[in-house]
Amino acid sequence: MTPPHQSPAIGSLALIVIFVIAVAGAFAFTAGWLSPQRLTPGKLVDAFAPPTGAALGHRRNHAKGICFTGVFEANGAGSALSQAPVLSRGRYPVLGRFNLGTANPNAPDATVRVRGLGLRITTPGGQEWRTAMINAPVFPVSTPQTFYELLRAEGSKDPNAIATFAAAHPEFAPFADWAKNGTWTGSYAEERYNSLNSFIFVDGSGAEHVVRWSLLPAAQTVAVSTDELTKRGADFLEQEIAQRVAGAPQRWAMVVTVAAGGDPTADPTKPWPADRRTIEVGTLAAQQVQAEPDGPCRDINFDPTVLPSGMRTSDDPFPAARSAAYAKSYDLRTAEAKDYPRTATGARP
Amino acid sequence: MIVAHRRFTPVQRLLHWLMAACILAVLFIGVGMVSTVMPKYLTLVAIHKPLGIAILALALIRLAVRLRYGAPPLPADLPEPMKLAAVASHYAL
Repeated sequence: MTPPHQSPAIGSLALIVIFVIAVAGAFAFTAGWLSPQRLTPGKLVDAFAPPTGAALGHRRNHAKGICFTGVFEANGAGSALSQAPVLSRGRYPVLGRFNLGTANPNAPDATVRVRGLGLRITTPGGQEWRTAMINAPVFPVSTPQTFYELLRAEGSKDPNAIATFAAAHPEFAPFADWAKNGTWTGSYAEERYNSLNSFIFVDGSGAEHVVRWSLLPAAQTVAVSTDELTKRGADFLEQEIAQRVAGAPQRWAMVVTVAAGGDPTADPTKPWPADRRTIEVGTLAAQQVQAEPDGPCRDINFDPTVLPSGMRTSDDPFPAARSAAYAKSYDLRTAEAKDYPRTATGARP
Repeated sequence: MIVAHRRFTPVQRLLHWLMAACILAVLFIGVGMVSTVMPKYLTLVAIHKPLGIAILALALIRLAVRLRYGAPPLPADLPEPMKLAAVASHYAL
């Protein structure tokens, strides 16, 4: 009889070593360890942090915000575009968050150009429509990679970094023009909020429609200078919306815009022509406002890829990138909960 | 109940290699998923979650099969430290 563990040992060992090295190499490649240029969720999230470091326990962007609850009243017209239950006629509970596009949770309200609204609408079957929208009419950049470059330019010590970026990226101009010349208002209730990203709606016949959506305020928009807003105090937006909603629910019309063939569906810097078909699908009512430290929106991730059946992502690259970055931010801030106490002394309204 | 076979039963061998493939896949998908912001991120997450649950289900099935069929004895000529490692790693798993 031949000894069982002798002659094939060297060959087998070599094969095993080669296999392990190949798998380890493939793993390192997949993890991005061999490609330091790859844009990871961690890099994107870190790029938001101010030089003093991120505000622990808070969202890494849109860090300042206040919760609200309310209702979405769907009028049923949206069923022509999507079979999502949330668009069939009915009243569905809403959890939302008014917020400012800043990494600083204590930024004075008058210093932050971008205002946002995060939304989660739930339907009885348990499906959810989550969306996070902003008041800018266009997004500053066309791709997540360019967004990262913009963040790097904003964080740069070079005083000309933004000018250099703008010169290299003409698609940035419409956003920059809005930031400089667009209207400022004195209330979250007077803002229009836009999805900017496109999504696909699938109707009952299986037909697909590429859409974007916006919330149009029922409140009259009143332009206010930033000098005047500065005088109102650091947290005037939160104080104002809390009082305003306590007085009466604040409403927005949810309007869906349908792209025509050839419209730029993958590029949120490019608005679609004004004559595109729009459908008003319902009304959002904010009924109660709660401070964030103990509020129901605190531990919600307004991930724009959480969509009901009948809605899905399009060729727009941002929702996936946002989903990846929001998950990273969520992991970080929920692990830091002790740095953002639930019952803050001197909590805002 | 436990009968000493020379080899693991075919079901056990199938489960072993199926789980090996699934665990390798879930590791690769997981590490790729958390290192990208590309659209494939969503696809990878959509595979990662159900695959993880499938592995849990396979592990439970595997435990049940192991209780039913047992395991063959280790080769008699295996050195003691390796025997210990084999037994310990099974319990650890």
